[in-house]
Amino acid sequence: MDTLPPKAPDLRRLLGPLVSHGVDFVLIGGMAGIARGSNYPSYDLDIAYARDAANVKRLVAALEEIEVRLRGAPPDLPFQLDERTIENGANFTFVTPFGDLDVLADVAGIRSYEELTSAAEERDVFGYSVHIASLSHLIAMKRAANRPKDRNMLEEYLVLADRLRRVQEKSDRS
Amino acid sequence: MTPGQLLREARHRHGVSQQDLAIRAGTTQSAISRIESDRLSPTFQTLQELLYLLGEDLRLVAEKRDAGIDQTLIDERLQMNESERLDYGMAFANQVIEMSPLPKREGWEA
Repeated sequence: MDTLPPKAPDLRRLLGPLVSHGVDFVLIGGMAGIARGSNYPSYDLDIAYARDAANVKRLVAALEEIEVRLRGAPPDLPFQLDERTIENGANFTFVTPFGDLDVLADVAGIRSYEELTSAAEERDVFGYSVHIASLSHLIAMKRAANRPKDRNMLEEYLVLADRLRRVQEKSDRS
Repeated sequence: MTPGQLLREARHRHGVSQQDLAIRAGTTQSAISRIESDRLSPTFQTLQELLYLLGEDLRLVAEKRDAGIDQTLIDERLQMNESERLDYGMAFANQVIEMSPLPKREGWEA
């Protein structure tokens, strides 16, 4: 990471429009890891989204409300936020007034969105019902990304998974 | 330890030359040499057979790895619900950003 954003994302402001527009998405990345119990900091919000036309339409509406702009793109590069743009691309990294937002259709380490969402768990996050990727899928993503920071996080996720399993076993016994 | 190092040390413990081990295994000295110098990665079965021919058993052991992760921190997070963890994560990220010597982008501009 060469630069840091000026502040961490405001998840309430980013998740709100996504949920209110009914976007079919799964929380992934570092924030999903934190939601699962990780201690590694994360400086953006990553989501994976369903690629069907109806969902892309809802996603565009949510992104308009969030006022996204392309991150790292030259200021004079035109960017038309509409369904065609989303359908012609797959993964987008945005800057928003509420922090950095990455919107991904192709996620390294994940075989399909359907597989990702079927294993995700629905949780209450700041009053919103949000699907959070399974720890196993987060592990698969970190394994695929394989940068030094990903390998460190992978190790923590493995320990976390063990811990959660023991907690579950203890709960099952009592 | 690499498979090559494992084999070389076992062979030395038993005072067997590469040539003698090759003969026992029906292979060539150069194949043994390539394994011991890690130029050739043997299968588990090959390494097992070579060690057997030295009078040793190769066992696969899966052990818990000490990755240096502080489990007390994990336990602290697990006491929280998802929203509390994410609030903690945002606050922590902001602390890191504030303290980091890395340059920060201005505002929310791209």
